[in-house]
Amino acid sequence: MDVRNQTAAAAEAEPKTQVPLIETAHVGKRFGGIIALEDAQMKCYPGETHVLIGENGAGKSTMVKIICGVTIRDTGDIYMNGEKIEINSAQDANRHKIAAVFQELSLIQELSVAENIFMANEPLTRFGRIDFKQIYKKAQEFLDQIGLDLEPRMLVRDLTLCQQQLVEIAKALYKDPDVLILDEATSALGEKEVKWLFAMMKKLTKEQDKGILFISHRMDELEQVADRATIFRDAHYIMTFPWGQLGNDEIVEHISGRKVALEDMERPKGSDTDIALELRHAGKGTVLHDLNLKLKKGEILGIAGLSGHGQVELLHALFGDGEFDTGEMLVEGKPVTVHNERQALANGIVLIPEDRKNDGLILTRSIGENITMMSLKEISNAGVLSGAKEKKTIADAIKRMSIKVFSSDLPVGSLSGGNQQKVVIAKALATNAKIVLLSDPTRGIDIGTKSEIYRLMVELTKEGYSIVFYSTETAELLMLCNRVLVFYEGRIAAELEGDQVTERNIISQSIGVGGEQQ
Amino acid sequence: MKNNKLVKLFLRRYAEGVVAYCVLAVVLVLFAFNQADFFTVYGPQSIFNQVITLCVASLGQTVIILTSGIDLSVGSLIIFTNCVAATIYMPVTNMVGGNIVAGGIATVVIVLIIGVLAGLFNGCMVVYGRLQPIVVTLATGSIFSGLARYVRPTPGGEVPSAFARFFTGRVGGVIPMSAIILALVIVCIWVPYRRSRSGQALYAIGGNEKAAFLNGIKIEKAKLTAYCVAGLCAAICGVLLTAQTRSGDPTAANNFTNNSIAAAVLGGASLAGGKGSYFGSIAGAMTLSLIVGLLIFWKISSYYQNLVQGIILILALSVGFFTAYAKQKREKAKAIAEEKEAA
Amino acid sequence: MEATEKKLDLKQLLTSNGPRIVLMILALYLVSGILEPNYLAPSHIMSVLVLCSFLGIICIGQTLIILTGGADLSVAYSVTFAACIFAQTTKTTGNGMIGFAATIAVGILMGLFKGIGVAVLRITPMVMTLATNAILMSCTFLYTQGVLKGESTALVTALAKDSFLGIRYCVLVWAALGILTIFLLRKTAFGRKIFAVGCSSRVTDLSAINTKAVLIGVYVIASVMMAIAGILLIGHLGYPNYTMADDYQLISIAAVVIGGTSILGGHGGYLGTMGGVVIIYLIQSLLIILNMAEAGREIVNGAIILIILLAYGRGKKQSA
Repeated sequence: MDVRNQTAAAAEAEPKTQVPLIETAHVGKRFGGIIALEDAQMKCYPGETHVLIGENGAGKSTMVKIICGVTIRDTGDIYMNGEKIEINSAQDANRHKIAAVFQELSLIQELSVAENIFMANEPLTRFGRIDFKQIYKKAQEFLDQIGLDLEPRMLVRDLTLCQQQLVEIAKALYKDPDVLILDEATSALGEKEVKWLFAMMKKLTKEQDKGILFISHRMDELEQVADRATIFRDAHYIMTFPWGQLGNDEIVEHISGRKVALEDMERPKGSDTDIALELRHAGKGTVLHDLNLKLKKGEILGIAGLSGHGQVELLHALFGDGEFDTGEMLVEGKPVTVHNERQALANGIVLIPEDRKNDGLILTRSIGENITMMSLKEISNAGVLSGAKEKKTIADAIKRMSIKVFSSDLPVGSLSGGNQQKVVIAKALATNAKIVLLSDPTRGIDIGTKSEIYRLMVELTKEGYSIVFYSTETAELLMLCNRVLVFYEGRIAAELEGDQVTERNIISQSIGVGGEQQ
Repeated sequence: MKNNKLVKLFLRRYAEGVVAYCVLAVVLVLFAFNQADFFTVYGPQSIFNQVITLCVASLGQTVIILTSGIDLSVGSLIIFTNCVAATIYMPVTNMVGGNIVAGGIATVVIVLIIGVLAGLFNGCMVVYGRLQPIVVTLATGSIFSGLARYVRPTPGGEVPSAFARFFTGRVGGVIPMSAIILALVIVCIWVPYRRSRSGQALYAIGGNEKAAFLNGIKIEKAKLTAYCVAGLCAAICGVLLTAQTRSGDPTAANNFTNNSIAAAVLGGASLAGGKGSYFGSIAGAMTLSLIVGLLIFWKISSYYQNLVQGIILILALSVGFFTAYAKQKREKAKAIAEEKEAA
Repeated sequence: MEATEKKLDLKQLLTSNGPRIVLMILALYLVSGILEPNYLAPSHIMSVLVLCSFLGIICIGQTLIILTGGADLSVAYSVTFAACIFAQTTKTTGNGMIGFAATIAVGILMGLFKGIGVAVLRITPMVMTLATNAILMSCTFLYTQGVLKGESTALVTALAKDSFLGIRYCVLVWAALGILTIFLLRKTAFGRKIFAVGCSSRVTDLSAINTKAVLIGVYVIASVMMAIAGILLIGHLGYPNYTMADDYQLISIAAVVIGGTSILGGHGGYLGTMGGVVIIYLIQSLLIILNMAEAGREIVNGAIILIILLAYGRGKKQSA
């Protein structure tokens, strides 16, 4: 706590002579029970590229989404050129000449490049009809002007992901924004395109005095463009500093900070001889490449990396949801085929998905129904549900997970996030599966429930379960895993074991700057 | 060189529509072999008279499908407007002084207004009632069909033969009136609509409604306009049907709903929305109508008509599944090949 | 203070499903009785229930399909085709049991066809069944060659016309099938899966439930129910006819929606649908008392669906 205050006060170096182009103060945002941003601030001056850094869920994306009107803030103010402005919709942001490019695309696949660039802003003829000739002519001129080699008549669906991202950027640039937001906008771009974008950014800031808010998980990119940086952590503002003032080590330290009060847990090492699950040269499309991993029996194997590097896909593929294209999968030494979720479950594998509201639970159905959804066979005789068995399964699960409920007949949606997550876990544990794939199970839940889940995981390993544990919170991995696989661009970048499992190793490997630990 | 590229891009964008025209060409060739007067002025006339109603109906359906909705009321609305036209023609004529031309024009205007209002009602239910289009139009379909029976409890009505001759005949002895009407519908309704911001918005709304909203598209206005245009198309179809049958029949079994959906899908529209084109739908509609004609030429029992049309609809809707399946297989094979190369 | 509490209770009573349906039935019954005292007689009640039984059995299928998030638009010719199969097969073979077996077999085939289209080919359920209706229409005409042959058998006529302890057999059949359906939905693993699939096929997939099999199973059961309804209708009418089931298309959906099953799937049940079926026929008979022509009834049926959906289908959509 006091660490944060100190750092915040220490290094707020800013050019006092100027009025910030865009400024936010005391911004707060909650999603249901989850705090996404609390009392946060940020200032971007004309002519600078301001980078926002932090781990997944630290609040940096929420901040820029609030500025461009995609997310509506709960509290706080936004100022532009010193004047307070109201941004309550994307249109408001548009009016204030704020444009944004996100990792998720907002393009219409069935329309052409030019039609997308001009969407809802098409030039009209004298009769009020859209002037398609002008659209293509103007688009061509504009693309030439900014130096992009794209055919304006091409349909977006026929472009590569990289080209689509360029169209998205062109669309934002065409609005001639005063503030340009680039949120992981480079993730799909190749080297050449990134170079182009950085040149463009330089022109906007240094020649035209615009402001750019830039988010990227690649350290090398930040080094090239950043003028100043703001660090977020756990939904809070930490500090702002001129780029170059802090070294990489210091930055990593501030990003990670001290998290949830970590408990001293044993890190189950698992059996030395028994392998529960093994992958050999497994690959899937363009997202996973040549994965070799062994999960020891009774182990919690950590999966780390920044989001979008294939971790979620790995867990889903192991459970048969989007199977591997290549490679082999072995359960307890025997090769298995897993084409779908039912085969995975039959082989003793169960997944606890990261998106509990859409993938894990049916919020409108009862707690009991959700708990027994994967174990209907176990609680019924010849297809007819046995009331007694069902009651026992539900009661056991509620007791074991200490889910706080009045009645198991209430809809799951009425529970708090933490208790909902417990139901998802209970649902998976009601099956006979002993290999549990946990995909970011503590996302957005309270600290109390978190530590309950940690303890449960350790307990499970003692009962013969083996766990693959993907988490976006590095601290959790440090606490629970003796072995951690760090993912980078669909590959296992590093396998850390024992003393190698440190926050610094994990973070540096996941942003692709540390190769020496291997 | 540049033209070559443009042609390629056009073909890429409208591939399904182009395929639909190829199928249509095959059907036309078959027609040419079977219809004795195909190459006289009667040939085009009879063909256009066969296809015009479904062409217009499928245009309306395409608009709704583009918004990722579906219109199950179109068949009933066509019959309703048909019954209204057949019933009010003579009374209206008498009101305007017995002139059947003035009466005809007044009737058509009234019917078109009714169509737009009916479409607007559908649109309001979808936009302001926040109900699923498919259920709304199922229910309003019943209402329109009831209204048709209310207006015309029994089949009949009086329509001057001049009215029928005007809509089904030829202009200057050569050009079929149906062809001219189709052209007029396209030039006066479709092209201006397609080139309005509301029309352009359909693709964005159907493709990705959230993105459309974030891009500042006026979704409610665009949807309401779309349902009005669909209603207008159904009403035009009702007028043409009146001219062709010279009566209104509330009990007539009609396949307009089924076939308009099938025509749009054959022409490249996707029921998921955001994809489709009017000229593709027209090709689809022509093909479907002419296949019925072929069945008649080949003396195949009319009992097969629905079977053939139903199967065409299902096949057209399955194309997406099969292409996705093939693509998945291909990609997997590619991944395996790459892996082998690497190893 | 007391008054407001009472009001709240009343409001709750009117908005929760069961009491609302009972109240609607009572109100409609009373209004019909006041307008036409004959309608209060037990014999008339029974004749209403007989009509209800055919729609009720069709609605078993419609309820299951709507619970999975679809709707069956092939009711008209699923019922008619099955009825024609029964009548004609029975006539040609002279054996009612063979006719029955053939009809059930056709029901299963119809269900497989629709189910595979929806579950495997992923065609929108309503469009798939719309196309199926056209196909079945052709099948009906091709099978009969435009001449309806056959008639009811003694047994089937007895089912529709005879009574046991003052209750017609077809009503008893409806009750029995209804109880089975309620049991299926509430007390079996398959029933659980139907609700789950209707809520989210993504969740059921990730819960290792065979979503496709559940969907196909539902369409098969539904089509068999429609086949059974077709047979009973023959007993009621005496012989098949091409338009015998046209009216059932829309009112089957209306009954399910009135019964409180969400048109978006995943919530509801058959008990409510049974109430919805009774309400539909009370409204129909009220319209007959009011001398409303067929045109009026069609308009009312469509309007009922819209009004019911606007009244409580919308709220569910928002929360879902």
